[in-house]
Amino acid sequence: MSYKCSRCKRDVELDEYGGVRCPYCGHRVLLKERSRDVKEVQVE
Amino acid sequence: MSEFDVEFIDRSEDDRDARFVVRGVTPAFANGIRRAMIADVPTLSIDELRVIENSSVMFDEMIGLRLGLVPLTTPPGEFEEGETVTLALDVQGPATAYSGDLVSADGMVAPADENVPIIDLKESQRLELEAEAVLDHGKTHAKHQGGVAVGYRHLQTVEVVGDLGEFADDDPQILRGVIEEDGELVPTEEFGNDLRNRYPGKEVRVEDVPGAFVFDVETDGSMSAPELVLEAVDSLYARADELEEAVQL
Repeated sequence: MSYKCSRCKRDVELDEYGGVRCPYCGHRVLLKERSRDVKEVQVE
Repeated sequence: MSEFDVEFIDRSEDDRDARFVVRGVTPAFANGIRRAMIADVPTLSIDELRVIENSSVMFDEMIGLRLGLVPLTTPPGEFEEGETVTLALDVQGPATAYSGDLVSADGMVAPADENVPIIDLKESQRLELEAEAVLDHGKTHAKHQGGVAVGYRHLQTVEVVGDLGEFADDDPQILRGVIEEDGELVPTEEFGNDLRNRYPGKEVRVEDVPGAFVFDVETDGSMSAPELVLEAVDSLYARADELEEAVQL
């Protein structure tokens, strides 16, 4: 799962041990990035 | 079906608006044409998106809804119902994505207007997608409506029956539509929609001409107004034939 740190804007990979925290700057607010997949949308 | 004749009064330069008189039809048939123009003439509209990148401030679904409402030119008779045409959009901010930025895979199909704003993109925002336009009817979804402002009125005759009394009330005599005068068709806008301007001091009687209707047609640009009318009448005939076959089983 890839996230982005909201303070230092670097990409962050989380694992199950580190908890929710940026390994570079220690910030605890991470943003989830939109997936790179092509998304199919049905126009209603 | 008996013969009926059609006479154009007005046509805009881009052929999107037209005004014409149809004679020798019943009110039911006139209304049938109107309804067919709205709901039965199929047009192409975007129905499916493949969003490659959308870093704009709006959800994919909202952009899809906006794209669906962009009128696309639909040459009559070239496509079957359910047939699709692929379009692509790729805009990098800072810029506004317009309908004119849509690139079609088919030369016959293009946005009818180039200046419909889709979304405003700020610095480093990007919208990249592919869209499938599908041919369908107005009764399925309003985005497939070819005729957007379609209506009709009775053609009317105005007859002078006498002079107004000296102290008669000078009330406006508003009439909208088209009047027939000795076989000549006069739009009421010519005299400010007020019969007083055309017949000052006269008492007039206004009557409907039986079986004559003045149609006002405006299309969304997917086809010209005359094409829309012809398609609508064709669809009525097709449905009548279908009914005839069904009851002769």
